[in-house]
Amino acid sequence: MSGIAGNGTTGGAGVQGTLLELARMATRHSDPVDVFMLLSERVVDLLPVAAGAVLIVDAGGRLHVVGASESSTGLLEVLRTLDGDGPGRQCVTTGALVIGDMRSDGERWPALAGLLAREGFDVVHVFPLLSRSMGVGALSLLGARPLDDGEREIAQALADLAALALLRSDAEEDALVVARRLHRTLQARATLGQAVGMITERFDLDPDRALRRIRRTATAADMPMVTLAAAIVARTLSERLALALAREER
Amino acid sequence: MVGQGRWRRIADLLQEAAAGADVASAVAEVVAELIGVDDVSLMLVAAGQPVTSSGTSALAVRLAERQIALGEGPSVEALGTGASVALVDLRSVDALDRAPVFISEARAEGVGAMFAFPLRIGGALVGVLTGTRAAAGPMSADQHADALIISTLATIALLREGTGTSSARWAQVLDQASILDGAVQTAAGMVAEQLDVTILEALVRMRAHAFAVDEPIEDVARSLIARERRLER
Repeated sequence: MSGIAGNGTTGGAGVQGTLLELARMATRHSDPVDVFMLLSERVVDLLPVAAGAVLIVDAGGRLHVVGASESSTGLLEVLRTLDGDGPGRQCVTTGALVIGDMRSDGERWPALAGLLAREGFDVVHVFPLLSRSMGVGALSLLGARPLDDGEREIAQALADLAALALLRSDAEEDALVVARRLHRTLQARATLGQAVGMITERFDLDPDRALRRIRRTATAADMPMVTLAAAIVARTLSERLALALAREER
Repeated sequence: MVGQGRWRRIADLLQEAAAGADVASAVAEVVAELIGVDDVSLMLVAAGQPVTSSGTSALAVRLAERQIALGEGPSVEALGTGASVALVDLRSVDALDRAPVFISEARAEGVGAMFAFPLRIGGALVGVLTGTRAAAGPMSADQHADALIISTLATIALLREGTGTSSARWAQVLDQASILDGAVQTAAGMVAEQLDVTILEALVRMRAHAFAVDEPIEDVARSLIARERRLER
């Protein structure tokens, strides 16, 4: 997994291509889990950041990771610290971008500063995912330096398109519908995790490879990952899909 | 912590209600109060089929049992789809279409609205929580949020109760609410595959093991994924 900071290619085909793809996914009502996982993985190639993640809130306002550029324990620990008294909480509460530069702001969030230093990051940006100006999640980016104006615009545009996956195409949707969808997305992510575990064991893989295999199979079968995951977990896979899952990567 | 307010408040309410009561009773009592419904039923499942119902009133239990017998109704639908079902007005065409026989019976009993929330962690389904009300109308956003939180807490508590390893200490259940995330679910999938059991059974076994070795379930999960340990049959 690329953990090299400052390696993103900003502007040009990479960003444009991703924006178009996210827009297409939004209009086709793609499943939020697919959208968020795509975004969190792509963002490290599009911006000069070393790690990225998409988080959404549950019914009680707590933040949960639904997609991350890598699944390392260290990164996940950092992401959990964004909640509580961290910049993630602040972003969701205010609905605005929060930037934490640990070289100058370290005392604001001491626990986070310690973890970031350990993982080799200096700056965290938390961009809001918004529904009617209320924060329902965040795109969190970790890197070595603050983003410039152009890079911040790109990041917020990516976050806005990702948020559309939750809201369909109507930001004025009823709050109850959005709350339901957030909850279902969290459940979908749990189901996907369970399926990853089963595939990990079944084919003697590690979780990252198992996830990639599920995604590859779901994409080829033109279904959201969570639909395939639910079939894996319920042990109701068709023979065709079971065979597809069993195929090794080239 | 700011983000924890609603979770903490509901865990406290459940703790006050708990005093010696089992999970189902405590949950039903708090739900009825919090989400503005008259009656609450709790249907538990085994192998995907509803097997027990309890409720805050004879009406609640009757409505649950009728749904099981007829194989239709908002609770049964929520169990089938894994998504919550809100029938805000039983007089509507939509409600009648979804469950013609059951809805007619429920209306005859004076029910105006029904709300069913599945109790699940991903693919592990424990049951369904259903609130009924004489007055038609939707839940408020606050009531809905409270219902979702109670559903998550109740699911975890029922899992714990199922292992016979603890009484309902709701503050502990609250700490466990993060088991929806990451490693615990992946580990549960691995255990389900290794032991050829359901995800639900895998979670129960992991919980029992964590209790037996006195470790947090997240640590057990991590070591299972790293293949440092394995649960035996």
